[in-house]
Amino acid sequence: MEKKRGMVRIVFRRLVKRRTAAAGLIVFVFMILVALLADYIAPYGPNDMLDDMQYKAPSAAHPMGTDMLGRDVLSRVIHGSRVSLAVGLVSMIAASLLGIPLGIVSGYYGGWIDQIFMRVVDVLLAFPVFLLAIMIMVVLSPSAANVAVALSIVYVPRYMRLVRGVVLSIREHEYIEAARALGVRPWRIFLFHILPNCLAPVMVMVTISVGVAIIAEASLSFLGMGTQPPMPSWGSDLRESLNTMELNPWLALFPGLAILLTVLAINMLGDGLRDAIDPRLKQ
Amino acid sequence: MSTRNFLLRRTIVLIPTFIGITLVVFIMIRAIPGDPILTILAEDYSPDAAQEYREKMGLNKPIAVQYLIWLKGIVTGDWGRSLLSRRPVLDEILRCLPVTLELLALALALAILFSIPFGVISAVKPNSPRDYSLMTLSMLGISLPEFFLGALLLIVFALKLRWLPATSYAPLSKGLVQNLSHMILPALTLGLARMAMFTRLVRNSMLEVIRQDYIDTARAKGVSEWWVINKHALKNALIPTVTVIGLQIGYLIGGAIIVESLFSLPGIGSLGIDAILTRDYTMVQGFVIVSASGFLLANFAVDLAYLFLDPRIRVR
Amino acid sequence: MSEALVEISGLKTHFFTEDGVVRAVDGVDLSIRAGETLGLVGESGCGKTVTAKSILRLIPEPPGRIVAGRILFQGRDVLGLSKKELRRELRGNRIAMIFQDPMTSLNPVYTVGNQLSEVFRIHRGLGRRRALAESAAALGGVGIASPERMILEYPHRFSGGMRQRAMIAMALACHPLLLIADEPSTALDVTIQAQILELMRGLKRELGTAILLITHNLGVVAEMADRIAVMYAGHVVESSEAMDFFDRPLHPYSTGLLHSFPGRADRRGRLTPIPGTIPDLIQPPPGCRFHPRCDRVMPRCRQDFPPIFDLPGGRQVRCWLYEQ
Repeated sequence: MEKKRGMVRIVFRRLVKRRTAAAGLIVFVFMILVALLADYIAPYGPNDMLDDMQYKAPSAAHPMGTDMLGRDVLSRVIHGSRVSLAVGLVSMIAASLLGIPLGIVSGYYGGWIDQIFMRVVDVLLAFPVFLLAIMIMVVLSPSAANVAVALSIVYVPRYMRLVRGVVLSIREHEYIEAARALGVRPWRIFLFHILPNCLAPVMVMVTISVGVAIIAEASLSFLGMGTQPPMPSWGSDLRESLNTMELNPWLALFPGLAILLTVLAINMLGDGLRDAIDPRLKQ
Repeated sequence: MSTRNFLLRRTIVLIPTFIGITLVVFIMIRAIPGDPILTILAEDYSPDAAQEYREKMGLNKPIAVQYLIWLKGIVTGDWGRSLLSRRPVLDEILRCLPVTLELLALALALAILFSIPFGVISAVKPNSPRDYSLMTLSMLGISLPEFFLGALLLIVFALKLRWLPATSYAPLSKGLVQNLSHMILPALTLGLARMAMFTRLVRNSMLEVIRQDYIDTARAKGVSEWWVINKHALKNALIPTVTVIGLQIGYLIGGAIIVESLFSLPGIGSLGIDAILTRDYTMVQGFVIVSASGFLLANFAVDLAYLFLDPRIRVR
Repeated sequence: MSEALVEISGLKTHFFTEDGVVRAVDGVDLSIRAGETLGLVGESGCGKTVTAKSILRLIPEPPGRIVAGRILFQGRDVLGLSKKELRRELRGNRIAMIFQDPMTSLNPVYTVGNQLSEVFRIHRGLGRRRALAESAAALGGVGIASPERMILEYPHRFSGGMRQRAMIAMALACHPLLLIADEPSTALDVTIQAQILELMRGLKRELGTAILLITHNLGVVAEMADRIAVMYAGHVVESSEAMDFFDRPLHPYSTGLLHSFPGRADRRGRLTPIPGTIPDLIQPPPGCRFHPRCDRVMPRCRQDFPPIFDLPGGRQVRCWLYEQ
């Protein structure tokens, strides 16, 4: 455990040294704060319709303008961050929490359990991410929460595969053999020996996949299958802006920029994390 | 293993995966809440019609048998009829498929064509200003959702500048220029994100390769730097890149669905989304099977390409 | 006294890394006469390979750079040549280099014939077919059976020994005046090693090529070299005729090398390794760089960096013990 804490500090220090990763971290934390404090910092509620204020271009009073129902776009974007971040983070963390134990069991025990799990994983991976998410949303009714569920299901097999790979590579190492020979209970082996080795690749995958999940939620909402109006979501807001795109481009611009900024930050963070954990890979 | 065995093995694996895909689709359709027969028969619903349908589709039989009956239909080309238009699903799909295929092909071609030189340029002078700017741009490209990029391109090129038509589609029969003028914005939208990803891949792969001893050997022989990079290094660098392209095609297929919707292209993506929104479940079925199978075949093609590139897996 | 073919003076090649400047070669003087074999000896990391690569300017520009010194080949300044002249006239043409690991020195995705032909096409202007024919002949000349068939094969179908032979064929294709061989036999089995060295000896006799033989294996050097130069931590510490060297090594490091090498064990049959490890090339020790490990160290060695002392018989040592 001591060694693990030391590793975290080293990785964190390396991370901060790289400017892009540090910038990504700052922006990401900023977005999280915005989402948490949305009620306090947004000038209006997301569904407050102001009379006679439809389709106003950006101005001092409304830095991002207003939409077709007279709602302040800035407030909608701020509130929309909650949905995007919540869905992105929750779905990927849930997927990893489910995928890790399944992957460990599959890799450690091998045999028919492994065969069955891997067949299922292979079939699920035969579907492109977005297609599978759409399929699951067909079964579930459209809502932000269900998007999170769908994305989780899509990613569980990916985390399983990742963790199983790690387990397979260290299973034959001596210290695992030694622990087994000493009669250490399997769950202890999992927790203290195997799990620490999985954390690094899983963390990297989580950071990268949160970005994918945020885009996926927005895309699903854009197609009408995700977050339903009037709940603010960057994707569905963009969808509704399409009709009047020519006259009011800012309605599409700001939600889109919000997604771009968030995902960019996450990707830079993920990149930096990957470099920090294994600097050899950089050059 | 020999080339023939390699091909044989790869081809044989296709079958169980396809079966698996059909299984998942079957389960998905069955899992949709609500009485399927009501939805399928819609206005024609009556207790007798329902009974007749049950018998025809074997819905009284155990579920495994239902699956086999259904699977037989799929394999023999009977994909049912659209619940809305009453036209055969397979026909509709085949009608819309060329549009999607053209979109995918254009996007992939754009992505590959530009990413190779960009990746090479980046790798040859790593950590230089041009490397940093290319890598930053590619970061940006990866983080852009397709619908946003598409919307931006639409606003700029179609609406504001009026250089290109905004939506819909002109088939090739109406002339290449017409066709391309409609396809270029969607293809660009779809291809840019993949281009960004491929550029990074090519760059990283090249960096690995350039460090190898055989590059030193080539230089020591007096080979010009241009040939060292573009002949000796590049071919080796493309090998790992090709395997990743297979995975990326999945993102392309997912992205095509979005792009078709945004640009109102009559491809299978639009077909599928409309089917979902109108609860046309037989059409949804067909859409999913085609898309997943397409992904499968694409990965197979990538495996074949691998065979061409890497002589080490060809054995006499 | 024949004029030197290669004359290196004051060569300094440094690597600028995140952790500091690695002074891999920090002031090296070497000369090689036409037709002679110079054995460049030393532990891993002493700068032998970097010196060799500097001659052909194969140092990767970031992070490395030749920061000082002069390299003359046939009287011409190598460091001043344009890239084009370097490629056309020296590399693969008058100076050839073969590398340590034959498994990784050949490009896996092109046939051996393709890679061999390159040399003929670049330097002798031959067309594809003639170049391939010459390649087959060259392969035959290094003792590879059925060369017409083998030129169509990929490197992974060649054994380690065969690959090294192919490398030698590639290097000697244009009858270079100088062959730089970086550990040519180290990565091979012992029996194959002997064959490769025999091949090199034979070709040298035939073509009169000078060889810069880099190795840490004194046995190889004993067989092949006319003269020997010993490197330590980026400097040449001793240089003399081979026979004189083995008869009576001068530098304490040389003595240590000889005693730590099987075949020269002392009467009790034990090997005596040199204590300690090679110094950090970013922060080398003050004074003589070998002093921390030297069994004959004097107070002066810890403070002042020794210059090269010339001794009779064409011998040179960089050691305070030999100050006149």
